[in-house]
Amino acid sequence: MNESKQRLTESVSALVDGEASELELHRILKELERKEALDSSQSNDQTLSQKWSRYNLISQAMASTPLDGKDISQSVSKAVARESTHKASVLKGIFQAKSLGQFAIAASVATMAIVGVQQLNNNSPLQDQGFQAADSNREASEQLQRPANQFPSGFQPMIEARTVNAGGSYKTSQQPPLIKLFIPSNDSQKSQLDLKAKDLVDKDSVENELKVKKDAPAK
Amino acid sequence: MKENNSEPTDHQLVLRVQKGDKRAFDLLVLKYQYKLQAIVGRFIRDTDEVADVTQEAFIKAYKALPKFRGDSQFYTWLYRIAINTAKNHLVSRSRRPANTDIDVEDAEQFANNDKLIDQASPENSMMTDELAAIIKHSLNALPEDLRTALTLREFEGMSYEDISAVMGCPVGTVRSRIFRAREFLDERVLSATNKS
Repeated sequence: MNESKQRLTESVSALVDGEASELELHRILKELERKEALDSSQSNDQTLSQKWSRYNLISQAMASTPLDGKDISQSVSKAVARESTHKASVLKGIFQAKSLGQFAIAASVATMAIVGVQQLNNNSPLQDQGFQAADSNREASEQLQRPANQFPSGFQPMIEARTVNAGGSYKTSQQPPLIKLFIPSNDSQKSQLDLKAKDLVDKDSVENELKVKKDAPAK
Repeated sequence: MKENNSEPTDHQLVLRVQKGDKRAFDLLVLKYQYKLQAIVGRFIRDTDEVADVTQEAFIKAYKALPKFRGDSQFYTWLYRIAINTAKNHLVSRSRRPANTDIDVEDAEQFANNDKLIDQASPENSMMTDELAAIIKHSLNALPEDLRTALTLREFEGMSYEDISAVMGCPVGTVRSRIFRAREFLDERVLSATNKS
C-alpha cells in the first residue's frame, strides 16, 4: 500500500469513528468516484468502499450487534442511481425553512437602512442649511416685529443679501434663496408703511410739479 | 456505557446525500446493510426476500432523505423505515408478521442495546459469533499499544482525544494505532472468510 493510499485508508478508519474531517470525507468520496479506474488492478477486497464496509463490520461485531444477510450494496447503488438527486429539493427546503428567518433579518436590515438613509438626508448639511435659513428668516421676521427693530418712518434700510461659499462640498446653487420680507403684523406698522408710501408719493408729485414748472416756457 | 460515536459520520454523510452526493449514500448502505438485514430477518425468514425488502427500505430511505431533519438519529430513522417496509411486505403477501412481538421501539433497542443480543435468531448470531471469535482471537495477537487504543475506542466508546489523554500520546498517534489495529483485524477476517 503506497503512502497516499494508506493515508486515505487511515481517513476511512477515522470516518468509522466519526473523527474524520470534512476534507477527509471529501477526499474519500472523490476517491470512490474514480474507484473503478484506480482499483481495476487491485482485488475487490482492497477497494476503499470494501475497507469501509469491513471496518464497520468489525466494529459492529465487536459491539455484538446482530449481523446477517448478503452484500446488497451494488444492487442498491444501481437502484439509487436511477433515482433523481436531491439537490433541488434541498435548496427548496433551505428556502422554506432556513431562509424564512434570514429573509426576516434581511427585511429588517433593509428597513433599517432605508430609515437610516432618510434620517441621514434629513440631518445632512444641505438640509441643515435649509433649516437654518428658514430659522434665520423666522428670527429675522420676529426681530423685525419687535418694537426696538421697527423702522422709523421714512427710513428705508438697504438690505443686501449675499451668498458666500464657505468652501464646502455642497453647491451654493442648491441653497434655498434667502428672501427676507417685512410683513406688517399690526396696525401701527401698517400705518407707518402707509405714511411712508404717502410721503414718497407726495415727494414724487412735488418733484414732478417742480419739473413741470422748470420745463414750462416762461411767460 | 458505550456511546454511539459514529453519529457524526452519519450526519456528515446524510448532509452530503441531501446535497446530491449519491456516493455518500453508498457508504451508508455499506455500513448498515447487514444490521438492517438482521432486523428484517426477524420478520421474514427467506433470505432472498430479506435482501429484497432491505433494498426496498434503502431506496425508500433515499427518497425520503430530503425530509429527514435530524430530529432522531439516522439509524433509528432507517430502522423504522425497514420495519415498516417488512410489515407492509408481509401484509401485501397476506401473511402475518413472523414476530409480531417486535415493534419499532423494540427494534431500535434491538439494534442499539447490547442486552438484547440473545434475542437474535440463530442464523443472525452465527455470522456475528463467527466474526466475534475471529476478532477476539486476533485482538490477543495485537501489540499492546494497538490493542489498548482499539479496545478503548470500540468497547469504551472513547473519543480519540480521550484515548490520547489516557494513553499519554498525541491524537495522531491514537488515530494511527487504531488504524493499524483495524488493518490487522481486517487481514485476519479476510483470510478466515476466504478459507471458509
